[in-house]
Amino acid sequence: MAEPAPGVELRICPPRGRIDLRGDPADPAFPTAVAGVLGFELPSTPNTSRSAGAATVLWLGPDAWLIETERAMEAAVAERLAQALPDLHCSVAAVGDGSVAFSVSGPRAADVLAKGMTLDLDPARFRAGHCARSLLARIPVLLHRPGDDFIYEVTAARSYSEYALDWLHDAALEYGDAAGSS
Amino acid sequence: MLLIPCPWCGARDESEFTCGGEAHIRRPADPDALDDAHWADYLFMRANPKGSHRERWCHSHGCGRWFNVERDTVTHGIVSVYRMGEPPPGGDGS
Repeated sequence: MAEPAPGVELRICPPRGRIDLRGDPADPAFPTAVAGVLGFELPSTPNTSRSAGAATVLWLGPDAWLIETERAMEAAVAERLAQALPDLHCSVAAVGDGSVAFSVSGPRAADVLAKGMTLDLDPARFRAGHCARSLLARIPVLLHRPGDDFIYEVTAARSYSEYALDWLHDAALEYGDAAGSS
Repeated sequence: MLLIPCPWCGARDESEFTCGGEAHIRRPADPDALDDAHWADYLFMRANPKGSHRERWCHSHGCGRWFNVERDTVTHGIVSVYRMGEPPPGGDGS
């Protein structure tokens, strides 16, 4: 008899580049200069992300964004941003090594996360392209749903990553956790 | 548990927030002109009303923003939420 399909799959995402960007969106020079480097506008709607080419930008706050890139691109993108924003009141920091992303996918993925989060994870509310900083099992995380599929990305500080993975494994156990956690 | 409507992120659980105490406390314009009693009053003395209370809250595990909440201290009902620098909906923010 074939094994039933797992309800949840946990995976550690490959290392990626992350750039913490802060600046004043009311200063027209700032979003224009950033868009010149990225090739698209920063998302201004709270708790949404925008993706094009090799970069994804997540809204973190009214003046804060996280730019995700390929690991090898992080330094180059940060350098280009810093050069494009020389005299503006803003900050660009490459922070990719500081956190680890997990992918929680499958039809029961939201049920696993809901055990440790207070966010409304109703697929109709937390839709494709939504992101939010919140708490998962009491640790600060950034949750992102990149597409319509039931794939959620959980980004946690590297120092919490072992705890986060242990917690996710335990929470996913009852749904048939197909863990490719290597 | 409170469900607090962050002006940017919408309704979120209280565990994501930090309470910063009474809102709209003004630093005295000329601290040197105050005697100890008035300075202590500015530093330490806070209203403790039964009913409507204006407080500062920070969405520390969300967007990281400080904002104001008008909360009923008896029912825990949230009357209004407004951003820093905005006048309180009920008026008289001084």
